[in-house]
Amino acid sequence: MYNKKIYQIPTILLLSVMLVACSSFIKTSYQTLGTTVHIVEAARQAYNNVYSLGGVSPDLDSKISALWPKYQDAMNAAISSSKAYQVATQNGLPASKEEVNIAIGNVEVLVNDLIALFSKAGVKDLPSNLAIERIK
Amino acid sequence: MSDLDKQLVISILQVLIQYGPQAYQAIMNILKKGDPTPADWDSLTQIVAKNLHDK
Repeated sequence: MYNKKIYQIPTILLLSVMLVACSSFIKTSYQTLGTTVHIVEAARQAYNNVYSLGGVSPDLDSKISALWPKYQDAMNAAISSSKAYQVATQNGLPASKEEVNIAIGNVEVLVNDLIALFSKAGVKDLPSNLAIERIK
Repeated sequence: MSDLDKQLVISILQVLIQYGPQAYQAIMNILKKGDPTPADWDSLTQIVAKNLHDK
């Protein structure tokens, strides 16, 4: 079970992105998306702790419930485009980094929207704006 | 590994130790990996597939 202390999320993400900035494109993509997935998962579990204690209004929960599948779709699209890029380059086929970065941009928007709603629900000290660096 | 990279690794360790063993291990495994395998991508997909209120 994840610890509730999720106020370190922006620090983790920033440091992780800085650390992997010089790695290969596909490795960096995996590390960036993977770290984000685990951070959102920790935030989701923290939200569930608040929710299970009755601390979330039905209206707010419905907003988060509506946003959650959009985040899932965006993250799955980013993972799929990264996998496709990897397969294409391994087979000597042309592949677009831009498509991967566009997908990461979509993830960034939705992750920030989710975090804003998690904060409203009482999950404390979440960042107001995460910046997920595009991969070069 | 440069001094800056070493400092970043130490900072990550310090933060993630407080963050919880499961998240710490998962994120460190990701950061240590080379190019991902199909199974690595699939494991991310499985986490993303969880419903909002799943335990």
